[in-house]
Amino acid sequence: MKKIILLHSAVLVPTLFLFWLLAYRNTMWWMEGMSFFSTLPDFAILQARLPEGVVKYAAAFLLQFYHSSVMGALLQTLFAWIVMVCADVVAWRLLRRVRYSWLAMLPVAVFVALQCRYRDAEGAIVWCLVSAAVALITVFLTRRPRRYVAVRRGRLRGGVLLPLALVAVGIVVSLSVREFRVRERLHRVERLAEAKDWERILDIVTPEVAASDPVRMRYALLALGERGELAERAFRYGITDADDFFFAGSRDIVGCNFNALLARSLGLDNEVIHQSFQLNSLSPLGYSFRSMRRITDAFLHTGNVPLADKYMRVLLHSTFHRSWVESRVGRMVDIMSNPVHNDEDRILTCSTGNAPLLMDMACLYDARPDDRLCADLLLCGLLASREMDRFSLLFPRVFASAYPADAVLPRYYEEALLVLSRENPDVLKRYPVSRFRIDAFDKFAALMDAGRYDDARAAFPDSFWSYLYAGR
Amino acid sequence: MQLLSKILLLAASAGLCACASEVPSAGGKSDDLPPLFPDYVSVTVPCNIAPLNFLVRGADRVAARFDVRGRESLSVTGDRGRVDIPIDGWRAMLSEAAGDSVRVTVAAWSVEHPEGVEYRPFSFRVSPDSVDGWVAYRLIEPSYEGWMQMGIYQRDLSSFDEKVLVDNSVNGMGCVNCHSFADYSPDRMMFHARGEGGGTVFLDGGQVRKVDLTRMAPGKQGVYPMWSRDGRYVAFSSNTTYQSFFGGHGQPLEVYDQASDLMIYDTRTGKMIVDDRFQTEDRWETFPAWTPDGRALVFCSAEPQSMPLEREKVHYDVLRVGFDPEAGTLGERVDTLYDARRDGGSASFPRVSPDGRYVMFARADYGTFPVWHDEADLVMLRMDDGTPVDVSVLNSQMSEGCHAWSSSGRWVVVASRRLDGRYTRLFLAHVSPEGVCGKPFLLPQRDPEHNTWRLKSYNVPEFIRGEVRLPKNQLKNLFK
Repeated sequence: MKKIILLHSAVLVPTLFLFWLLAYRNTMWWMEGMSFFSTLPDFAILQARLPEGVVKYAAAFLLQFYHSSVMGALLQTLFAWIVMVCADVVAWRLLRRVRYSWLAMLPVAVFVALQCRYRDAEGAIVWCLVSAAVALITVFLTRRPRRYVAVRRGRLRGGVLLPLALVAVGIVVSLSVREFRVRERLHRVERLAEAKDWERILDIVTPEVAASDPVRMRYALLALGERGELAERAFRYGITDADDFFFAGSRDIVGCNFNALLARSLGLDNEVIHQSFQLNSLSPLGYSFRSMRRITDAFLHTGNVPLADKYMRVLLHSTFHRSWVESRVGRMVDIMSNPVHNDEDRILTCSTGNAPLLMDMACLYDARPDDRLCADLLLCGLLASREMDRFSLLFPRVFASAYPADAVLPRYYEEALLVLSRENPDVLKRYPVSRFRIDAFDKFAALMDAGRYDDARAAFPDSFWSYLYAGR
Repeated sequence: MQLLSKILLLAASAGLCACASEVPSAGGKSDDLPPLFPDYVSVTVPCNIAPLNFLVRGADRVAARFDVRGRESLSVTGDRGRVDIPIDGWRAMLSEAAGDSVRVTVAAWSVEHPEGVEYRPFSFRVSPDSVDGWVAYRLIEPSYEGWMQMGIYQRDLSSFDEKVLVDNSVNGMGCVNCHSFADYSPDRMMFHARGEGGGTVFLDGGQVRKVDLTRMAPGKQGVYPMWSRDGRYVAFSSNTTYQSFFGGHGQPLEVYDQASDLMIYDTRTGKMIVDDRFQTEDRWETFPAWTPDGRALVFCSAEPQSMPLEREKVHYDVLRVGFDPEAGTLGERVDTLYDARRDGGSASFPRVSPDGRYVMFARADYGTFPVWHDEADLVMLRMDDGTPVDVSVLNSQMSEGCHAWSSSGRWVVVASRRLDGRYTRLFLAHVSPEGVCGKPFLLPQRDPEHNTWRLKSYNVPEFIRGEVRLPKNQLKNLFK
């Protein structure tokens, strides 16, 4: 019996550990971030009061370990290992033949296939508890076999080959579930955005990827904005509307998380906190480490010592946040010795109506006219909305305040100005549009004038002109 | 589950191992007052309040000696800077000190003062006026739009017991809010439960029933309630409420109405009384409050503006209109108790004292929801002539909003954000018959830091004379 368990463990543990580490590293990161654990009585008592609360609380405790991918992979493997040991016990008691011991890996394979679904770890714990219960019942109800009747070939097949095949089937099924793959890809980009690794996001989310994935497209646009390339490359990424730059009025986890990161990039601390509170309330436990850390950083950024201190104290009641909190103490000390003064700026956000992004950015621009990201989002948003009149009206003011005096005109602004120059040629006297772009526009216009719309778009596929005249 | 809750609570409080014992003498003395949290220096407390446990920040060992009339009444030591006063000794001391002061001498040992330092003693006064036994409030994250768990809770003011009165597990994690009690009675209360199958729940005579106010007054919904003391009428405002968010720095959001009217529910006939004068679009009326005799309704009213852009032009007055309880009709005459145009600001949450002499309300620079206005303070006027009474002692740099009078009128509970600017906490203050308010003190907790790490705000505090016992099974059946 012990040998079978050892053999099965030798098959399962390294395979599954590597599988989780390589295939679902970012999913584990997400699991930790969306979970929350605290020894504070308010939280602990609430969990104890709720139905299934104890399992939730235990799962939340374990999910803290997922801040390390290795620990996370080990725990995910451990869950499967517990199921395996229990199944081995049941097989031993009921089947009494080594040649059938591989059957114990059937529930394990099912569990492995489903495990990615249990993102709050509760499902995995329930599997373990049920497996343990079944094993105990079997042990109580059956007699201990005198010996596990074994044959040499049976041991190899039942102990190694078939179990390995079953685990492989579980892994293949898991990998074939589109939902799991999509999530992993999304969490990878979310993780990079959290870490402000904009270059890597643009490596992963190519224009082709963005065109087929509206969520990752927004991350790519945010990365472009952060790198100051929005007005150079945005229209390559499959934009259809100004609202493609964020999630208007979002009340789901993906949207709130993105909106919080966008707000962080824009320096809208209140909005970071707002979206993070929303994210908290959408989290399985009503709070999430990701939100709590982000809220803490936002309060530190605004120089709000009492609230940053409060959240740091709260986080200290978890198991693994001491070093995270300590890494913020220096900033806290700085703020206490040099208080941050932020003027009340009353920038309206979360507008409702036809053009929420444009409304929000217009309000932000009024308060911070030199903010380059805001300026680009506003101007590119107007272009994405095909609002050429408003673009014409706002461009001189916005560009002048957000760009240096000697700045080279970004591509899409040049292209938009060339469109405007058809009605008002004086535009080109005010802005140094490149000769190259003028020639290109002449070619595009000639094709359009000749009614060769498809040729025009094919010749200039990433241009604003193609976007603007896409309907023709 | 309840047993487990208790075990967890015990485990949590086990760390606060303070005990009554001989007070060790400190190596030095300081002329400074001890750095206490919460601040209990020179406060007035009711003779039935829970122990004023406190924390000396930065200290390791602490010792406190409580003297009444020059004689030591109680001494307590603690570690981790906490003083956890034994409840029996505390109660004995309060009964001894009622009407007099307690002098507290605190000594603390820390890395900075390894030999200990004895701070300048301070005093607090024990009023012979007791306070109602319980206070009810809603606990909810100050979280803008969404929530996970929320509930209306009740707290025994003479101990640290906090119990769930009702939480949103009964209505599928919907919203539960706006509780009101008839004459501070734990047997007659109401609250709203929003969401699917929601309604207004009334507890009366041990029975609960759900009323759909939207059916009784089409186009209206009961929001801010106030139950008359005689228990017959519940006045509601019907509000169409929105929020606007400010993404940058400073005030994070503004809560405002786009419409609001008054209506009165007659619990005897089950009918809704609406007066056309308070249903018009050219005035917004909100926050109704009965006078103690039930013969007048006090409420806030403002001229509508285009919201949210003209939000700073919204200024709510405090008005009073007579009411005939026998006929169930509002009087002709409407008096202005507070004229916001003339006196500035905007009024919210008016509450009339139980003796009918004063009205207290929150005043912000503008708008209807002072909770998100740091400048919001409490204001008190005499009901007879509108003369202001100085209650500045109740206020802070942060928002003071909801408040409630105790049944005796000798205490007010104030919801204030003074600790950190965002999380509302409850403060109690004494009010003399002449309307002089004492320094407010934070609702005592077994662990003083409870107020720091609790992630929910206290919302709409209401005193009650005893513990509310809602029939839980009946309540669940209402939402099936």
